[in-house]
Amino acid sequence: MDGLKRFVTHRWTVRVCQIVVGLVLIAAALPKIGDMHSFAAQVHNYRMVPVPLENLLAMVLPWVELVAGLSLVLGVRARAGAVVATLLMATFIVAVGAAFARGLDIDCGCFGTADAAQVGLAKLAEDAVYLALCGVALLRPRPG
Amino acid sequence: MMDHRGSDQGGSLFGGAMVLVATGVVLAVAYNLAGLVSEPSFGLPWIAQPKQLQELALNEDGVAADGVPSEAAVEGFSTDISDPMGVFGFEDSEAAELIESLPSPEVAEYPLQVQMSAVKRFYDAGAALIVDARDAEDYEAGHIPGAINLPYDEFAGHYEFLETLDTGGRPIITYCSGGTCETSMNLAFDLRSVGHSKVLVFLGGYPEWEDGGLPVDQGPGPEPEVR
Repeated sequence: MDGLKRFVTHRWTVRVCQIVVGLVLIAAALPKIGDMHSFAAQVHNYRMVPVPLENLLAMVLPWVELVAGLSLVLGVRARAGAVVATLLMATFIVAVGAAFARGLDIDCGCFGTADAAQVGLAKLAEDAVYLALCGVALLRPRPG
Repeated sequence: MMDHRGSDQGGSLFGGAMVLVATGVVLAVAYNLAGLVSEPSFGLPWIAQPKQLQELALNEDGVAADGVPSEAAVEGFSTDISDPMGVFGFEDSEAAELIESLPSPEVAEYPLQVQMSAVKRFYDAGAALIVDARDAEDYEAGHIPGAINLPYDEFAGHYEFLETLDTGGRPIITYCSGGTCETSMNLAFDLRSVGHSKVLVFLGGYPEWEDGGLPVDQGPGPEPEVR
């Protein structure tokens, strides 16, 4: 266990996790920015947000992802970026979980229209992995 | 074990996160402004509007007649919803005429909303697949005769099933409980999105039908047919 803890808190492990999470966020953000109308429709599918707010969410979410992703990849305020990434990922897990529980057979919209992934257990598992990586990305690496 | 790198302390970690979020918001607003102004525009309206439906234009006879032929083939389809074979032609040429009179999807933005008079004409001629989007309980308490029950809560987003729904070549008319009920409209959009081209929404819903003194059925009704 101690060896695992040493590994996870090693500055390289933390840095690699930050970069991986950052790249995923950037990959997720760009298609949504490129086609805001389609992403707004995907947000609408979830039926979780009041309709008047859906466009605002569709506009803002991808840019927040992009900024957080860049901060993680570039290592500028990376831990703050990891906080944002963790909050985003937790929110996505709740949204996907709720849609799945309601039996909605919809596009995840996770990477905009660039992927055809549907809401379901596989997507939840994938998000859980990302959340774990975010957790490592949040760590303050041990000195040395 | 204390790490005194100032920007990583708990409070300013949250502060740092807020700075990143604020940056994202500012960029998003700027980008959308640019999008709204550009030609062609790629921006989103700031406040999303709930979907509005065009209304089916009726002539004096009470049916749309824009002269554009319907895409639905009128041979080989049954007017009897519960007929599993579905291979009989329309015996009633009025049904065929009604279906043909609907505007083509190139001209009109389906789903279209329809008034009760139009629903009544399609009902009388057996020229539409009528779909009740309410819960099974409401459906069994009273529904339009011949309507099938596709409770929106169960079928929302079940695109594969909706795609295989067999309409026998007829347009679909959805309804729910009238008033502010949106499920008939939502179901109509879902049906449209999986490829059913002629979908109509009867916003007055069951209450308007019942108040009109029109026949109703109770208990379980016909099963949906799938291809």
